[in-house]
Amino acid sequence: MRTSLTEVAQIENWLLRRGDLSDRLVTEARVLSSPEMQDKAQWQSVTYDLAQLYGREKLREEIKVVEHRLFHTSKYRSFQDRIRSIFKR
Amino acid sequence: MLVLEESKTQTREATIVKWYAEVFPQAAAHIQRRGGDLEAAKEVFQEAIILYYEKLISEKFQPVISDRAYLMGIVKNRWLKHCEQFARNESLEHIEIIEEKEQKPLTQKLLNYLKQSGERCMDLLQSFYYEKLTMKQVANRYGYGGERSATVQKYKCLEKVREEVKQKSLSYEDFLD
Repeated sequence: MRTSLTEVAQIENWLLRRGDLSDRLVTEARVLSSPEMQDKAQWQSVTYDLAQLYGREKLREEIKVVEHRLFHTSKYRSFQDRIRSIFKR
Repeated sequence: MLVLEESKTQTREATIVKWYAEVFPQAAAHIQRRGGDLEAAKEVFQEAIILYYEKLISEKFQPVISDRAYLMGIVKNRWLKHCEQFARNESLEHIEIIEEKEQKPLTQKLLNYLKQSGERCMDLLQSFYYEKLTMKQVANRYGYGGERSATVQKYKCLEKVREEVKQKSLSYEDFLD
């Protein structure tokens, strides 16, 4: 793995508190003493948040596709009738 | 009862279908009895699925009751919040509010950008960080030779997306929310 990727991995272990503690302490010292490392750690942390949000949106889209199928295909007619009867009350 | 172990072996889609078939009628009836319509029921149920799914994949969560009970608990809670929000808006109806054009948050802009420019990397990253798949599962899903090459690809994607996010964020006017 090239050096920059090793650094990505080290920042990950530090941010997500994974892996060997002494390695994490070394990374922490580098982050605290280097503005460049701080910058990388900050944007890597934002990237994790975005990956979470991206995953959630993907799940939401998947749910909508399933829902559309359940409400609009003849295979699920009995389900549709059941739901329709609830809202006819 | 669909628990964590089962949901990992089933496809996610099959799990969602199962939840709709088994729980949505009860959720819909609950919301209908409290004045909600079908669209509201669908919206609340979608939210409940997302919340429950995220709970299921979290490392610390060990389900002790059925999926139905969890999902219905979330549905009831979300519907209550929805009603409270509605009541608050109603009470503010007579007050003149100067509506500001909503500024699209930076996060959404970044997500839209990443969806278009880096979908493959974002798919891979979310598989690991959101779905919490193992590297072996990630390797299988995306056709990598093994865990090691999937891991290298994950770090390559992280580095690439990190740089894109930084550049894009700095070029936008607003701030991270």
